[in-house]
Amino acid sequence: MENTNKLEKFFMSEGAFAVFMALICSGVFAGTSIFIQYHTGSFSTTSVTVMLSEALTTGSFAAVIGYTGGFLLARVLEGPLVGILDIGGAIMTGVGAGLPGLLLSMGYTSLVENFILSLLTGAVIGIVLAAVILGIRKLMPGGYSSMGTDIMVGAGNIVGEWFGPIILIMAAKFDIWTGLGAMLGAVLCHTKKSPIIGGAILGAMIVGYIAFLLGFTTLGIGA
Amino acid sequence: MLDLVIKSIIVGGLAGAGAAGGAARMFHAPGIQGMGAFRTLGEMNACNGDPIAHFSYGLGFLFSSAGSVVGTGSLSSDVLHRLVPQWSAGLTIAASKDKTASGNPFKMMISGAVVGAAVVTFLNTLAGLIPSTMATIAEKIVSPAAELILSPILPVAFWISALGAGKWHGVFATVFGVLAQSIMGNATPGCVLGILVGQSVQDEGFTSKRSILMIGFVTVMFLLIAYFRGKF
Repeated sequence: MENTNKLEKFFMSEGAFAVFMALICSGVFAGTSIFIQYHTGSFSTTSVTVMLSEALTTGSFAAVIGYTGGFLLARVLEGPLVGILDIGGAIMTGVGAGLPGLLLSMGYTSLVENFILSLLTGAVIGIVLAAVILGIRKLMPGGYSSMGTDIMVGAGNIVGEWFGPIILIMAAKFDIWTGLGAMLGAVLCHTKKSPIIGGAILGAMIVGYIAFLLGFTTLGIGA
Repeated sequence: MLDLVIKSIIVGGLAGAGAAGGAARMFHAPGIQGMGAFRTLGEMNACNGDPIAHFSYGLGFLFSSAGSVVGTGSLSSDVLHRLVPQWSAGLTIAASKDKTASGNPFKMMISGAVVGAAVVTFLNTLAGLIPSTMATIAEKIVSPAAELILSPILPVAFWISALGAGKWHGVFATVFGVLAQSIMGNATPGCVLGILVGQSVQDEGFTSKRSILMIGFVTVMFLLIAYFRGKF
C-alpha cells in the first residue's frame, strides 16, 4: 500500500511527465513502423496518414515534413504555456508522421522500419521533447500554482452542460429514428440521474441500427 | 497475423499508458504539465465521473475509428484523444468506485495500457467486422457534435468564464483569444492564457515583475508560434 502511494505521488510530480512522453511517443512512433509494414495502425489523423502513404510511395517527404514539423514546433511551444500539451499536433502528427518522414528522407530507414529500434527511437524522442517542454516551464516566471484553475474548471463544466443537448440535436438532425433513440436514451439516463450524453449516443446507435435493419429508414446510405 | 497482434499489443499498451496518464494530469494543469487536448478535458468533464457515460462516449468513436482504419490505415486521432482517455477513465472509476479516480495519473496509466492494447489490437485486426451502418450513425452524430464543441463552444465557455471572473481576466482573454483564433486556428489556448495573465495582473498589478514577464513571454511565444505555423 505504501509503495502504491509512493508510485502515485511520483506520477503526479513534474518530472514524471517525461515518463508519459517516453511511453506515448514510443507507441506512436512504432505505430508508424507497423503502418509501413502492414498498412494499418498509424496513430496520425486520417488526412496526415494519407499524406504519409503518398510520401512513402513517391519517396518525396517534403510536404509531410513541412506540414507536420510546423505543427510539432508550435505545439511544443504552446504546451508548457497552457499546461496541456496537445497530443494531436505534437505527437500523433509530429512524432507519428513528421519525424519518421524526416528520418526516412535522411536515409535512417532502420530506425523506423525495424520495430524494436522504432520503439527505442520513439522513447528517445519523447524524452527529448519532455526535456524541452519542462525547460520552457522552468523559464516561465512566477510559477503556476493554482492560478485561475477554478475559473478553468468552471469553463469545463459549461462545456459539459452543452454536450448532451448537442448530441440530441445532431441525432435528430441526422435521422428521425436516431433522434428518437437518442431521446429515449437521454430520458432513461436523466431519470436515473446520470449524464444524458451516454444514453443519447447509445440510444441513437441502437435504435438507428434496428430501424435500418427493419427497413424504416435508409440513413442516407445506398438510397 | 501473430506478428501484427503482438506488435499491436505492445504499441497500444505503450501509447495508451502515456495518453491516459497524461490525460489524468490535465486535471491538475497548469500546476503540473499534462497532455491531451482541451477538448478531451471538456469531454471528460462532460461525462462527469459516470463510467457508463465515459464508456458510451468512447464507443461512438470506436465505430468511426474502425471506418477510418479500414479505409486508410489510420486509427484516426480519436483513438488517443477520446477512446483511450474515456475508456480508461470509465475503467479506473468503475474499478476503484471513486468518481475522481480519473485524475490519478498512476491508476489511469495502468488502465490506459490495458485499454490501448485492446483497442489498437482490435482495430488493427478486426475493424472490418463492425457493421458499416453503425459506423455511419456514430460518425454522423458524434463527429459533428464534437466539432461544434471544439469550436465555438469550448472557446466560448472559457471566454464566458474569463469575462465573469474579473476585469483583467476578460480583457486579456479577449485580446489573446482573438490572436489565438487567427494564429492557431482556435481561440481556446488564448482564452486560457488570458485567464492566467489576468489573474496575475489582478493579484499583483500591472507593473509587477510577474505580470510584465508573463505578458512578454506570451507575446514572444505567440510570435514564434505564428512564425512556425507560417503566418508571416
